Amino acid sequence: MKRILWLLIRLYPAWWRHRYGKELEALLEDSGSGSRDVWDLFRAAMEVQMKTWSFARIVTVCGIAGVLLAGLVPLSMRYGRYESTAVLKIPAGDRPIDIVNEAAQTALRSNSLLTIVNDQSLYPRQRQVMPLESVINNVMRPAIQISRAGPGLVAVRFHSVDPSVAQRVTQLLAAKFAGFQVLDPAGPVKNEFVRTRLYHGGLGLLAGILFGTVLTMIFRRRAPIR
Amino acid sequence: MSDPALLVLASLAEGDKHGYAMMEDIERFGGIRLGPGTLYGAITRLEERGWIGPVKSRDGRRQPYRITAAGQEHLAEQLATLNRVVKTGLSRLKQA
Repeated sequence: MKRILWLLIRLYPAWWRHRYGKELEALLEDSGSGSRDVWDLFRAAMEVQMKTWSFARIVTVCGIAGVLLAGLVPLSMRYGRYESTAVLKIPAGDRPIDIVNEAAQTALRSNSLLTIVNDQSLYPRQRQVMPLESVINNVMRPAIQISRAGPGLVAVRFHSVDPSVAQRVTQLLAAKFAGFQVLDPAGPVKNEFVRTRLYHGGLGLLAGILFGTVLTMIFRRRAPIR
Repeated sequence: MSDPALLVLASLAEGDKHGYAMMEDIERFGGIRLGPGTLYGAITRLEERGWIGPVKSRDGRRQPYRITAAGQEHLAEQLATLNRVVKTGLSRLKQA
């Protein structure tokens, strides 16, 4: 714990450490500081930093931190980085939504997906560590998307780390929609990863800037001595 | 009274003290344990305002501080205000 407290002193600006660093170290030794003082030291160090840094610097640093953190989000996504899409024409009928739902239920039955997983040798690593049923429900199903693609049209999407697998599985899934006319049998594979990363990076930047602004307002509004 | 700066001034009004001595004194008379970061945040701000200053000491790591005349004046003002608040509050409580 002492080591953490000593490291926290490093968070103070250099001028502050030069002036008060040794005294603070002595105080930590004398008072037997422990885990209860971790937050106190961190908050106090940030307060001094906030008062030393310019608003532009705080916002820039928070924005960069936001982008870096947000950049990690797509890495943790379960589904793959490539997306393939097939477009199908919904058969004529009174309630197109019901027709799509019924066909999707049939196409996405566990047995149906199991056949695809086995035939295409999908998810070899996951199959070693979890039952096949879990692979289908926790890994494969989240990688499948079915949504409207326009009037009378439905899109079937599949995500994978391998672009050719994404395309092949999308074609197989589309073929399971009995009675639907396939207009696009799975178009060119898009790199979903880059797009998602850019999207999250943008969100992270905005969140970081907002966080930096709020942080500056909180620490600077606090009058030191009333 | 939980303003760390005011607690530090009140502690130094008794005499020169280094960080740990202030921490103990404040805990004794105020019942509040100031964390090391909070204590040194208050010391930094008070020194910037010229209300306290370092006293020459042989032990550079345990630097004592002394309240200045301006610091005493500020403390007196603050305590007078607090005193008015306390008196008013107590008298109103009695009436209630």
